[in-house]
Amino acid sequence: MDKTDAQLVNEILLDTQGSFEELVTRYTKPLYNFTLRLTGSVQTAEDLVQETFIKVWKNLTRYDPQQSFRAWIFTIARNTTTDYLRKKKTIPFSVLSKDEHLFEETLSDDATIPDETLAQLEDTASLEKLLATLPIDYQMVLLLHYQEGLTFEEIGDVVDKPPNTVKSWHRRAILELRTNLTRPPDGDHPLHYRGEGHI
Amino acid sequence: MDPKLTKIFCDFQVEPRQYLCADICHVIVLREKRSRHIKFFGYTIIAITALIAIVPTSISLVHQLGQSGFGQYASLVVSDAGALTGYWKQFAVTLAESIPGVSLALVLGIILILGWSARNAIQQTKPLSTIRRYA
Repeated sequence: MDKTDAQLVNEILLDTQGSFEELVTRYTKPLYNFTLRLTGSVQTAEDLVQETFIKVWKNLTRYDPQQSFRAWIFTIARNTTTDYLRKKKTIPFSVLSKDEHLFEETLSDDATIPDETLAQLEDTASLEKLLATLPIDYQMVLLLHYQEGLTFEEIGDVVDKPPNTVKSWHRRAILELRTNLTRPPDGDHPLHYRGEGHI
Repeated sequence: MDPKLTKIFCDFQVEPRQYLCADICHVIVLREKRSRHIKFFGYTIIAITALIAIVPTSISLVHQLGQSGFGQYASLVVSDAGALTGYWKQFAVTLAESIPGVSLALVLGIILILGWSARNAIQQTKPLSTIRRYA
């Protein structure tokens, strides 16, 4: 039977043979996919994953067992990735004006994507392009929630925001995906402001 | 959580290159080994310095113990213990006053530093078993 994250961490702290290796094996693919989608570069994603694990190794004694380990490691990955993107000055930002709030209110409250529209997302290239049009925070929420299965509370811990903010970001992300799927994104799109150096 | 979206995002995942995990472990082991070498070197220097310093401080302590009369007072405990029973409080105070406090504290401090640095230096030589293949 697979060991839990908490058991693995405990074994690593007791210097049990092979435990850290097992942790690396367990989390390399999720962290790699997370950083790859945010940076768009294979080499950068590998470097960021490596840096994340180096930080995990150095700070494992500071891990609080009360917290989800998955959320903790993704917090480190998220901070490492945003530091990298800040240095490169490629973090896009979302600006919500009054008009954008009004536009949101006119849309249906149901933050889902219709099945016929969802079929378009099954094409990896389309999903990649659409995700890249979203602000980085929205991308993180979607990746952490749907790809990694984190709850909104856990995502809140990762991005250091209240769960309600995360739910709001999630809703806006879904709405924006839906809008972009039904209408190709362009510069006049009311919901999204693209900062300079968008990935 | 929308199960269809979950499936789409899960299918969206890509496999990292084959030896990425191994490379990450290797880099961490190299960094850890380098860190341990530096620490081992540092603690060893401190231990050797403490070992060298303990010689003159011990000699000074012994010299001061002789000058203060501590030796003579202490020998009374062995030679004339019966006579001391009535005056043990005054004797204890006199004995304590004759101890060269600063020199003694210095010697004990150096011994502690020697023990601490030696223990830490030895700890740096332990194998890195939690990353077994690369340690």
